[in-house]
Amino acid sequence: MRSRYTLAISGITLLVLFVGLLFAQNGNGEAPKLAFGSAQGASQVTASPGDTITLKLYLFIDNESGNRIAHIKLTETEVPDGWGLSFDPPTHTSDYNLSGIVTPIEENIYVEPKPVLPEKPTTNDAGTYYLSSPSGKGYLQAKAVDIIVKVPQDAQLGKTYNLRVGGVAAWYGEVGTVLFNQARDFDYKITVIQKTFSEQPMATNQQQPGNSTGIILAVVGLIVVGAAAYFLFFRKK
Amino acid sequence: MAKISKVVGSAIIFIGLISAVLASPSNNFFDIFNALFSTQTATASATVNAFVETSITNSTVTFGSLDPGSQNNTAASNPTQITNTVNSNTAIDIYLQATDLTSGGNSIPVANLKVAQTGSGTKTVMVEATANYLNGNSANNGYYENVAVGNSADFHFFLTVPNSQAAGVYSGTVTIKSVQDGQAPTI
Repeated sequence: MRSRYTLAISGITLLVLFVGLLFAQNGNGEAPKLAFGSAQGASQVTASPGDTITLKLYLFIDNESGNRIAHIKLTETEVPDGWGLSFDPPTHTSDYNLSGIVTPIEENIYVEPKPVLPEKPTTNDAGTYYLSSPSGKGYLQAKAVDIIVKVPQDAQLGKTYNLRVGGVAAWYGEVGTVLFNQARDFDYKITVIQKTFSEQPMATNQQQPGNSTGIILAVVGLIVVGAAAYFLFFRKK
Repeated sequence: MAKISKVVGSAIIFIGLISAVLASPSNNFFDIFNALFSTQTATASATVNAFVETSITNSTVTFGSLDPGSQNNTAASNPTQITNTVNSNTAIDIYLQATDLTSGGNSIPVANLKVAQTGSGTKTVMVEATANYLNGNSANNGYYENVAVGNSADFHFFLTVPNSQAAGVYSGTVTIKSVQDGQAPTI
């Protein structure tokens, strides 16, 4: 009797395992789609000499667009002389187990495919940013890289400086003659301003306010009007 | 006589009023007018962030087994499709680069890899990753131009194997650069 139970439980366990493996096989067997999504938090900003500012670069993969993890590496493509630029997370090498093979991959961040949520969650997952998709489908689940910019003390007031960051998304574990990368540029314009607002007129040929001659003439004009009115309408005939 | 006095008096009043207005500290009639009937404007600004998501349908290009000296072999995986997904809010220009195909110390030059927009279309030689982009390095010079949101672009790959090419499993990389329409790619 006991052996029958054991046999039945073993059979059920095997069946569950088989079905699970079947589903897993179907998941892995889905045709690969390599997606790379990005959104710049702000591409035109102001800063003052000596400031350190942080620009957000959001990275995402809608699981309807892609079904593989993208490894994204950023590079400084265009940085003005004397300016500092760094990334958080910084470029680093991590080991990944790709189908049983440990592979070192150089990246700043990796991005997994995630569904677009119909509503913004009330509680945030740490490190997840919810971006309203232009599609109107809902909220993309994004990760972010901080682009940290150090403005030099001698940056010219009023001048707009261009910065460009390059990003390359790579996918690993695929076998073929030609593999694909996706590359993208992220442009930023930073206008240098003073820390506090001030305004002073510079022109010298404008009329000064409170012109006393004008006031005197206005008073004289009004006196003339008053006198004329008196003689015209109130003086006894 | 009384009529003449009234006319002269009215004229003096008119001239006096005009003098007072013109001689006022602002010395500008329109300033006074504007002060009485002014409209103030405030500037409102909002920046809409650029979203770009692109998706490649085939993860690799596969040619299978080829013979040395064979010309323009069609990739078994053709076409590869790149979609500017609905999560984008801008049209894109697509630029291409590629590397040599290597196997150990042997290589097939990048110039032997060609791409076309259709199976029977014009085959264009790929360019080396560190030098240039296809079709060029300037703005609005992509291999595909102005791919709208939700639209796709097809890529057909062809490979010529040089005579006496050493046997081996060769592989390389194609980089697909999506550039916001109207911008130039960075080398």
